[in-house]
Amino acid sequence: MRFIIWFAIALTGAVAWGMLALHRGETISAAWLVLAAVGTYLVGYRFYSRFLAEKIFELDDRRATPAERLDNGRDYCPTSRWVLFGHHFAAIAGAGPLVGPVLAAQFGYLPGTIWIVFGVVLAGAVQDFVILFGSMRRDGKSLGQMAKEEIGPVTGIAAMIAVLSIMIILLAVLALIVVNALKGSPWGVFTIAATIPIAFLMGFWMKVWRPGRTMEATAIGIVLLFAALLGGRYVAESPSLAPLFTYSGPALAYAVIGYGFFASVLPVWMLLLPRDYLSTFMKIGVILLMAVGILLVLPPLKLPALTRFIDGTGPVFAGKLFPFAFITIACGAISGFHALVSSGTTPKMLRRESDARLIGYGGMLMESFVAVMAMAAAAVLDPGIYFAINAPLATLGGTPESAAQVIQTWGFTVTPEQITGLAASVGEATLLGRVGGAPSLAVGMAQIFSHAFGQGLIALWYHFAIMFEALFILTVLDAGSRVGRFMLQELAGHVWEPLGRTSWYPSNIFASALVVGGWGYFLVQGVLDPLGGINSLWPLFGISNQLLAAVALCVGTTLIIKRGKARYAWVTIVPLMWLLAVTLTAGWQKIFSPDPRLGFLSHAASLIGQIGAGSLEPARGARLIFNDRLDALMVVIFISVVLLVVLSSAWEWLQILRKRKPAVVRESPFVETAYAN
Amino acid sequence: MPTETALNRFARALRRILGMPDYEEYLRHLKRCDASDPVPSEREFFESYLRARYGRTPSRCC
Repeated sequence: MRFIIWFAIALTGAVAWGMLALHRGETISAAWLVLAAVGTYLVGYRFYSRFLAEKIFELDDRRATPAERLDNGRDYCPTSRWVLFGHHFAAIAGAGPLVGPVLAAQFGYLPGTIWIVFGVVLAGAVQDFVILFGSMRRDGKSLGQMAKEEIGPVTGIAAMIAVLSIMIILLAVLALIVVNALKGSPWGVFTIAATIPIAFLMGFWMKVWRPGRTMEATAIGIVLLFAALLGGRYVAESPSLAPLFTYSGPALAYAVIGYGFFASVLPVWMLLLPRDYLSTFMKIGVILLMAVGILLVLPPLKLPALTRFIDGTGPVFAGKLFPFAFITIACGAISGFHALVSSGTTPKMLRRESDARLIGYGGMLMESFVAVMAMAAAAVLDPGIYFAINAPLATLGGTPESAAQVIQTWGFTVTPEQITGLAASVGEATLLGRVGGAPSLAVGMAQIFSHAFGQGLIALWYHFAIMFEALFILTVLDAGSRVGRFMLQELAGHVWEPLGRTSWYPSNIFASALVVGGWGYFLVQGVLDPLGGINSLWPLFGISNQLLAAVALCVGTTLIIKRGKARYAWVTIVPLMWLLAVTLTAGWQKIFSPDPRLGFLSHAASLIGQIGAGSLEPARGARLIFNDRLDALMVVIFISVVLLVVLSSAWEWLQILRKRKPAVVRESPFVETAYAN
Repeated sequence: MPTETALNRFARALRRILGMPDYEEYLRHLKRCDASDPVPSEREFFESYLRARYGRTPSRCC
C-alpha cells in the first residue's frame, strides 16, 4: 500500500515535470509547477533525507540533545519540532529566494525551476542538514568554530574573511534592491520611513514602559504598519505631500547608508529588535498568503519555458545559462548563509535528534518552495512587462514608446499603453527599468493576490508587497552591519587590542563606519552604474554565497569522513564539485570574458576606449574603471579564499583516509536521554 | 500547575518562532532545577536576552 502511494507521488511529479518541459503552447498552469516541485520534495524527503539520517548521521533518539543536557530556559531549550521548524524557517528565508528566481526568469521559467527543485534536494537541503547535525553533536558550535577545530586554524580564519566579505556584498545588493524599488515612489518611501518611528515606539514599549512585553509591542507595531501603508496612498495622492517623499536613487542611497550607520551604533532594542519581530511576522504571514493565493488562483504562466537569452545576451544580467542561472539563484537551491543559521540558534533547541531531519532538510525544502513561488509570480507577468520592469533604463530608453520598441526587437509584444497603464494601476509614476527583482515580484504578487482576495485593490497589494520586501531587507541591513562590525572588531583586535573591545564606543563607531562605508560604497557604485548595478553586483553576491556553501560542504565532508563514513562522502562531495565548477567558471568569466557586458576587465578596457574617443568624461570614466577593477578584485579574493579552504580540507581528508592521521571525532559524549520519546 | 489554555500555547509557540524571550518559561525552568541563585526580574531577563541574541554570529539569512 505504502509502495503504491509513493509510486503515485513519484509518477505525479514526473508527469508534471514532463508537462513543464515539453509544453510549447501559449500558457501553462502554475499547478504543474507546484505539482512538480512538491512531488520531488516528497520523494527527496522520504527517501534521500532518510538515507542521510539513518546511514550517515545515525540519528539516535536515545541520545540527549544539547537542548536537553544544557537546558537553561533561554537559548538552550527543548522545543517541539513544528515550532522549531517555524523558527528555523523564519531565520533562513529572506530576500534571496524571492529575488534570485525573478532575475533568473530572463532564461524562462524552466531552467531556474529545475535548479531550485533538484538543487535543493541534492545539495541545499543536504548542506543545511549536515551542518545542523554537526553542530547538534557539538553542543551548538558555529560553522567557523567547526571549520577551525575540524580542519585547521587557517581554514577558520579563511571562513571568517569569507563571511565578512560576503556580508559586505550582500548588504550592498540588498540595499540596491530597496533603492530601486523606492526611487520616485512617494507611497513606498512614506511607508518605509514610517517604520522607523514605529520601531522606536515598539522598542520603548518593550524596554522601558512594559519591559519584556514583546508580543504586545509587536501587535501594536503591525496595526501601525498597516496604517502607514494606507497613509502612503494618501501621501502619494496629495499634491503638497508627495514631493516631500519623492527622491532620486542617489539621494535614497545616501539615506539608506546613514540609516544603516545609526542602526548599527544605536542600542539593539531601539531599532533592530522591533524591526526583527515585525519583519519575521510579516515574512511568515506573506509567504503563507502567497502559497494560498497561488493555490487558489493557479495562474497561467505567460513566460516561455526557455527564452532566447540562454545564449548570454539577456538584458537583466549578462552571461549564459551555464553557469549564470546557477549563480543568480543561490538561496532557494543552496545557500551558504544557511550554514550560519543551522549552526546558530536552531541546534540548541532540538528536542530529539531525529527532529534534525525535518528541520534541517525539511526547512530548506520549504525555502525552495518559496523560490518556486517567486518564479511563478514572475512568470505570471506578460514577458514584455517582465522585461520592461527588469531591463536597465539605459537599454530601454527613457519612454514607454522606446521601451516597447526595444522589447519588440527581443520578440515580445508589449504596447506603451500597457506599460503606462500598469504603472498607473499600482499607483506609481513609472515601472520602467526598476531593476532588482523586487518591483516585478510585487507586481506578480499583486496580480495573484487581487485575483485571490478581491479585485480592485491591486495598488494596495503592490505596495504591501514592496513594504514587506523593504522591511525585511532593511532589517538584514541592521543585523548584518552589526554582525560585520563584531567580526571586524574581532579581526582588528588582533592588530591593536582596544579595537577588539565591543564595549568601547570609539571602536564601535570606527568599525561600524568601516562596515557601512564598505557596503555603502558598492551601493553607490550600483546606483550610479548606467546598467543599473544589478548586472554587476548580483552575480558577485551569487558567487560569494555559493562559495560560502562550498566552505560549509567542506566542513560537512570532513565531519562525514571523520565519522568513518567515507564511502558515503559523495553526498557532500558531489554538490561541492558542482558548486566549484559553477562558481569558478562564473568567476573566471566575470573577470576575463572578452565581452564587455560580462567581463569586468574588458568592460574597463572598453571604457578606456570611450574616454580616448571622447565619448566619456574622463573623471566619470576613471571612477567606473576603478569600480570594474575593484569588482574583479573581489572575485579574486572570493576564489582564493575558497580554494584555500577546499585544498586544506582535501589535504586533511587524504591524511585521514591514508591513516596518517587519526580520525578524531569531536562530538560530545553520549548521554542517555531522560525523555520517554 | 493549571492546564494551559489553547491561547497560551499558541502565544508561546509564536514567541518561539519569532525568537522572542519567554520569561514565564524561564521561571518554570528555574523552578525545575531548584537553582538557589536569585531570580532575575523580567527587566533583567530581557537585558540578558538582548545580549545573547545579537552577538557575534548572524542569526538571520539574506
